[in-house]
Amino acid sequence: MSFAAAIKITMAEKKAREIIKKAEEEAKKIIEGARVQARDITSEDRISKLVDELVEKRRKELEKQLDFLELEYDEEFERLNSIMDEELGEIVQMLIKVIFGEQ
Amino acid sequence: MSSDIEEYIQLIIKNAEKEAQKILEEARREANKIVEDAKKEAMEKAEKRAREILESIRSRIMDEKLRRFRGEKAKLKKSIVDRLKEKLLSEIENRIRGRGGVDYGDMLYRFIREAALELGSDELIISANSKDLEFIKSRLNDIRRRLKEDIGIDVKITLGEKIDVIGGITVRTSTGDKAYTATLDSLVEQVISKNLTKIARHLGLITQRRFRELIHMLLSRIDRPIEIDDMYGEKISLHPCEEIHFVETENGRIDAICKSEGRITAIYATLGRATKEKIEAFLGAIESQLPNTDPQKIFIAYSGPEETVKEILKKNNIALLTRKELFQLDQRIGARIFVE
Repeated sequence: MSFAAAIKITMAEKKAREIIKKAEEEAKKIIEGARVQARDITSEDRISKLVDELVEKRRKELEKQLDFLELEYDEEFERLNSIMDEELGEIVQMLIKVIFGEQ
Repeated sequence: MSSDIEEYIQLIIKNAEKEAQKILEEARREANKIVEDAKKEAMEKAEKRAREILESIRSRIMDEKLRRFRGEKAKLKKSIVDRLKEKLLSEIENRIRGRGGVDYGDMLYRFIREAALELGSDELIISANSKDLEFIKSRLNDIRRRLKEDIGIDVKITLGEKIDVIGGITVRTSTGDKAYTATLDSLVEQVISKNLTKIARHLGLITQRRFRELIHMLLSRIDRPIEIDDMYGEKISLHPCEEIHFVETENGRIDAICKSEGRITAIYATLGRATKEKIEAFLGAIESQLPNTDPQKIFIAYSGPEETVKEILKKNNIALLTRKELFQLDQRIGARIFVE
């Protein structure tokens, strides 16, 4: 191998090392950037915001559940408020049979 | 030779670039994982905290609503049971005062006989209201004779104090160590208390959820196709259900969906009245849950319909069942859920 060729190869190897070094530095930066991003994501501030969003979103579901429950309560009250004497009379006849043994 | 070296140099650079690419890809993968893990961690923490907050909101609102609701409901229920007691006592009074074919004298005798057997004493002090005390006094010898014949004990009966009851007696031994109560007032309390479940179902003094369960139970007892009339005399065909389920949607609810050999029946069951709002919610739920199925639609309103709903029911081909029709169905299939 000629001297010139040896120099060319050495220079190419140097360039190769530089390429790899540059990639490694870039990789470090990428990972460091991700860590910064991760710290931000898991920061108290961001989690609190997330909590607020979740609570707000599910509060609506909760309100729907409560509306549903309230509707059912209203229906129960409608019934309690609409019992007529005639209906009580049916029960009275049933209980009279029990009391006086008229089966 | 020179060309070989050039190629070799290109190879060195190409390999380095490949290696660099690999390093960067690995870094990006790792970075991605770091960010994803962080997102997951943040979401888990946020979910946990949100759940705690929502649970506390839910229990605060629900507890408050439930407490208020239960309190109001208990008051109303008590007033209904009081009305029932009043009616029952009045009916009993009518009957024992000779207007209902009841042999009250014999009833009083049976109370005294039960007391003698229960207390196991041959000396009894009997208390009752003034009318009944007079009655017992006038038949004392007859009562003693019957007791001797029936239970073989010669019982000495002393009349005690007057008590404020509509009928019946309280009895104690002469030593006062044992007592027996057989007043009609206490009997009314006992009978109501023993039959409370039956009474509650018959009158609809139950929760809406329980009502839905009872409707499911009723539907599950249908073991053959039957035809019944709705409140307006329209025919409804009911078939044994292969499955019954309840759905709740944003628009409204369907209390029972009964599927049977390709037929679908959708039922709304309310303890309250049939109102325009409830019917619209029912139709909305059918549209979202049972699109393109054209199910048979039944609206059960335990408290009857509002006057204005007939048209909307007819227009939407919805059959209406009130307590009366529900009781008829119950009796027809022998389910004994709402009526004996």
